[in-house]
Amino acid sequence: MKVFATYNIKGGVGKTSAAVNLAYLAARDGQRTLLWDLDPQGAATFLFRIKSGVSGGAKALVRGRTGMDAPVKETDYENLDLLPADFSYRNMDLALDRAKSPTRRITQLLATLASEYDIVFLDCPPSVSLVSESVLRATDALLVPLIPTTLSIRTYDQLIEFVRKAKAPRPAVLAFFSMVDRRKRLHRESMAALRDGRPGIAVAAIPASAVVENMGPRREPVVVSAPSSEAANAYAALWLEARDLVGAGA
Amino acid sequence: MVADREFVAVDSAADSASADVAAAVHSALARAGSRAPKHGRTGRAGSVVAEPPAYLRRTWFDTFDWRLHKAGLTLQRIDTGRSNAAAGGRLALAATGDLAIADLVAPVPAVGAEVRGAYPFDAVVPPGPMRTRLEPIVEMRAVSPIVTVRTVVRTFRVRNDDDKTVARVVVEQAVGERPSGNGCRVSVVACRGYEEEAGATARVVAKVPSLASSEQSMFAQAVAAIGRSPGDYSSKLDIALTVGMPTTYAMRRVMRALLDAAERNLPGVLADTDSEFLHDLRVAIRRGRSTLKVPGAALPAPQADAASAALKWLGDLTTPTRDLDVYLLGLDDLAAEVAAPGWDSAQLRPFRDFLVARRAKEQTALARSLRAARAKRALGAWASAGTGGESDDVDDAGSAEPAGPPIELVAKAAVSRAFKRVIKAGIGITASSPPTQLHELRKRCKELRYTLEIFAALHDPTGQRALIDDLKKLQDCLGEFQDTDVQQHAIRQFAAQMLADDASSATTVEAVMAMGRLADRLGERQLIARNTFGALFARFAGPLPRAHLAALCERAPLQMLL
Repeated sequence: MKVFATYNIKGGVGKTSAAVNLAYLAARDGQRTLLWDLDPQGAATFLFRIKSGVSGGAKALVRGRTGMDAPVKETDYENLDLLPADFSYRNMDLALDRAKSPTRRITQLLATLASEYDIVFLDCPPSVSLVSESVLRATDALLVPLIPTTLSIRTYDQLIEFVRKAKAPRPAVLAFFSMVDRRKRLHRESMAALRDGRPGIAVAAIPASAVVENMGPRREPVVVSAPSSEAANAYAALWLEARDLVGAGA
Repeated sequence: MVADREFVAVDSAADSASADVAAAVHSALARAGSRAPKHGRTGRAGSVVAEPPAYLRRTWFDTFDWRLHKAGLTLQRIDTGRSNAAAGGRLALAATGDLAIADLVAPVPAVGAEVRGAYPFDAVVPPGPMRTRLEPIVEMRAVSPIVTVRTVVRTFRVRNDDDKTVARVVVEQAVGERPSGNGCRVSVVACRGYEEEAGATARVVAKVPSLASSEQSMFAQAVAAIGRSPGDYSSKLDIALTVGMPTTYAMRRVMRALLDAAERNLPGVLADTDSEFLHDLRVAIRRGRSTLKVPGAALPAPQADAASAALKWLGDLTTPTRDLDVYLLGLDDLAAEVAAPGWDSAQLRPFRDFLVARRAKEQTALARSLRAARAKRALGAWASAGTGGESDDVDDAGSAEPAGPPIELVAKAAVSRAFKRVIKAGIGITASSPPTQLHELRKRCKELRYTLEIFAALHDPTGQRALIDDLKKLQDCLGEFQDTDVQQHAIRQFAAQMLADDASSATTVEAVMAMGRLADRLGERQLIARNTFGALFARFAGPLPRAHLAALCERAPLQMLL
């Protein structure tokens, strides 16, 4: 089982869009895939037309009172299941803090699903917390969306430092540009500046696009609603890079 | 989706048109959807979406002796598309009773869409988890299509107020000529996490007129439609002998059952489908020979003598091919046993090729002989021993020939005699006894085993199982001793032959050197078998197997009292 996490300290940068589309692509490859929506806002859950809520909430999951497989819902797409968000995930830090070896807890919880799934995606909330630390240890590849701005360079460097200082095992990091508008000079320059001397940045870049914005009202992945769009092609290319990074070939 | 999320499967009357059933189901689901309470947030009700019809061809595979069925599994190949040129396909492996829901799926196999005859297992199931799971079950057997059903599938997706699919209702109608045309099947499949909603859907479907609960899986239904039943062949003997049955009738029944087993395996031997057909044919022959040797078998001497000679001839005829089968079946394990740093099993390829070529030659000769007049006469002699020269459907009770004593007395004496003969043959074996003496003991053990199996219906099952377990341990040891003995001698002959054929080839020389290691290993294994023999035989000659022997004979008097 390979675990990917879409993560950034900042919010609104395209984490959920990436998690939803990449998870769909993994499942389309024939991989048994689970997306765990760790963000209490539950955007990924909503996009798959699934209602948020986990019986007993974060505390029951973390303590193992609710089995990880119990809340799982099948999506409308073959091979793709979702572990829904719950508003109580906002307190997951507290629940983890009370657990034994909190930074290993998510790894332990995912291990219980290892026979059921080939690929797991974690759609993480935007924060630096105990949840993030536990996610880092559980993850094979961290997928980091970056909006090409000057501040993103700082955010990316902070994140790399955060990963470097985290306890082993540490994930591979694949950053990718998100919400890119190539007509903007700032975007072009920021992308060039970020790539300079930083090898872990994907070739694929997700464009700022109406089809991506339309995921909300349509409640389906871009690769389903607009399969030949530039955004869909970019997600497909990004999935190939992510897959190859950890040897999660179909 | 997996089987435990399937809620209900109901069948329509066989002649209902699927379109009617589908329309009735659709309309019931739509009515139920519109009656459902509107959701507070969206203010919307659920809905039903009909997907375009799909055409499937389902072909179920199993081995000749139903190994998958016995393991509680069904393996089906599902091809999609209307024409013979399938648009796509997959293999689905499921626990028996599941309706189209796969526990494991694999890509379409290498064999063509139109599947006939038998295929090597590797040609049907590609490498992957499915092959890994099935290999230990299927072993050396080929798999063949049992039955094919063509269907049209109409799927209705039941959605909640978020337009999220929560269940699928699948209406599948067999089309075409029978055995395919065996009715319409409706199943409700829950999406994971929506079992409650699917339960409600199942209750709606159950109320559709003309549908009833399904008692059988589609596979069981299709197999029944071609006049077969799963597990209708087994290499295990199941001869209906009863206490009090006159011996002549009983022995004829045994001979007929064994001939039936031989004849069912014969086509597989002739077609060289897999090595197990020949194995089972040989077992039937040997069991027949043991039957004829039962003291007091009460078959007329001319018939018994003719059958005995015929069976010996048939047995000898099959030996060379079987010996090579045994070699080839064990070669990979043997090669693995001698693996060491620097060892390359590829060196053995010329040896394997040599064995395969020689086996092909022996198999051709065997098939030719089995098709010839002498084999027909031999089978005729066997049949005569089973029928007393009358037609196959002879009524046992209607024959005028002497009936003999009740079979249980003869059986008890035969088992007891065979047991004593094993003890007698083994008791004198010492560390310096020649291999021929162990070989003789092995023959006596086989005789006891076959006698036990032939009369199994008369024995207490627990005693029978316990005694066979005791015997099997001894047989395994003697088998290992003799096989390794025979193979050591054979490997030297093979090596000489290979060098005589092509001594100049470096690969041949390398192979022969590698064969030397195999011969050494066989020698070691033979020594191990020899060293373990003493304790095993002492155990068999001890009190426990005798107690088991007494226990298995206990059933007969009880039955007689009843």
